[in-house]
Amino acid sequence: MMLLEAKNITKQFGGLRAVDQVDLSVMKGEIVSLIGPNGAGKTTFFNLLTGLYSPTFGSITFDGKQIEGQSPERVTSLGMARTFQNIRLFSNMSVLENVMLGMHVKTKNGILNSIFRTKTFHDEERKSKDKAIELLATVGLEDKCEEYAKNLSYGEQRKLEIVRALASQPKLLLLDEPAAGMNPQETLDLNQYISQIRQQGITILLIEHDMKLVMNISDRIYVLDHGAKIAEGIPSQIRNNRSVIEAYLGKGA
Amino acid sequence: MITILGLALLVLPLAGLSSFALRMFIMVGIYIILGLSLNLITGFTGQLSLGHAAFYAIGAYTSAILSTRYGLGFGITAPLSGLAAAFFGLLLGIPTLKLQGAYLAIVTLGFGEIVRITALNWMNLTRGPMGIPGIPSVSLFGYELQSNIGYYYVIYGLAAVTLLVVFRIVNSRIGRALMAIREDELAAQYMGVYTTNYKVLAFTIGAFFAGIAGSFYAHYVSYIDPQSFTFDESIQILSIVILGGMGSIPGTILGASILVTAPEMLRSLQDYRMVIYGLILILMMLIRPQGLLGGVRFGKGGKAKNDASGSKEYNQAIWRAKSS
Repeated sequence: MMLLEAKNITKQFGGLRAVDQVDLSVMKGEIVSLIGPNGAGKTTFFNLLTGLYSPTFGSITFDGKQIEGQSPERVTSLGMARTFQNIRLFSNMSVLENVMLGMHVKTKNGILNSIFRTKTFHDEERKSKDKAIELLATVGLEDKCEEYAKNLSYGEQRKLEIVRALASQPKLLLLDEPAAGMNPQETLDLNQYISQIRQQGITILLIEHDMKLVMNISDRIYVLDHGAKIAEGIPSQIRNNRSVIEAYLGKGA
Repeated sequence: MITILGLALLVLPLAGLSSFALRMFIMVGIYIILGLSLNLITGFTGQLSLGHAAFYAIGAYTSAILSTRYGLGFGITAPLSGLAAAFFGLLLGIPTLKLQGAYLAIVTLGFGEIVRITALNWMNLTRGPMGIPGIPSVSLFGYELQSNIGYYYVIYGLAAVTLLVVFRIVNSRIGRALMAIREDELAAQYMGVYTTNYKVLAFTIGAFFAGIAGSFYAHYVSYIDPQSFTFDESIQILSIVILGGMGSIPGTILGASILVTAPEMLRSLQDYRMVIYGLILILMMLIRPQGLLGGVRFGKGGKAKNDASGSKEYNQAIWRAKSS
């Protein structure tokens, strides 16, 4: 079943075409990677999918709904969650609160409930808290619930960002360079963690530069260069693709 | 801790305080409400407002007009004043809260001036610079408050309600969304938080309580004029929030206590007192920029763990990390 389908996506910033007529589709349950040299337009493409930018033309269908030009808030509530290339946690809030914010779209407590502390309020808070701790336990952060997010180590912050995204119970998880700055062991752990997430039935779209990770984990790979798609296919095809090698290493390599 | 403080406040007036001291306590109470309401907007939601006195003024004028012209008592004028201020908070918030940082600050500053100048010039409604005299004193359940002791209990009752409401909002799903906006607005949007709606909500609630404070003030001093609601007033409220610590409820209480009483305490220094007052604020910002109780969000335990952010060492470490 098709979960995400982007057709003919183009984004023009003044005279610059950051993304040029890109088609991309993700089936339910797949892990799909988006790779390409720096400045190829990968993150811009993520921003288009998640509603931060609206495409100059093209259409995006997610879970049967047209979503191009919708706000990030709306896209998140439809079941898409993301992490960021440079970590964007809520630094002066506790680890637990960060994860509970991830649940914002799945919870309902309003202003009156909160002020009068109704039974519904307490029930929902307790449930969210338990769920958050459970999620944190999957990455071994359950003992750091009360810590400020900014006091975590770099690797822990990366994990927390993924957990926060998972807390919204997304259908599709977008990871923007999750292995950036990680050592080989941490990357290996991440590899395992991403596989675990897939086993829970969550589809994953990944931007990554670590080729070992990408080749290892992806079902299919898309390659962007200068905003245009230059290749797509399974890892073994991409590894031997002439234009991909040229894009990364230059002609004559 | 909170219980002890509450009990102390409850028995304090019985200890035979001078009427001057009681008056100081009452003013502190008013500024606790103003500080808490602004802290919700600026400290917790991160929206810099330089016009909080406008809501205070709207509340005070609403009460003054309703009580002198229509003979309504505090029990009715106070909630109406809160609602009137909240209405203007909403009206101002909807178009402007899409702005960020300095732009929002300028709009709120402008709003504060508009309200003051309107009060100064709309003679039919506000009597302009002549002000509104003869505002009846607070009467509740048929009893008219004669002494400062009565006012003392009313204002600390109101302050306690404000405290409870702000505390509960902050420690809820709503509060987490507000703080997320302060921390990283874009990331908050990606959590599904409709940031503009939440900012308007914080603004409206903050304005509501400032309006209530204004209502109490009008009934308490019995005379108001536009001079009481100048830009300096907005800055005074903001200073309370900053001195106490942005996003800290106990900090606001401490900040209000210090900044309201300090000018009186320093009175013996005569002309130098405002210099000293300014100096205290400058030193404060140099030594402890996060505010006296910055990082102490909830009043007890847990969150205050070794929070070094904002300290000089911390900033230097961050700077080194960024430049390396």
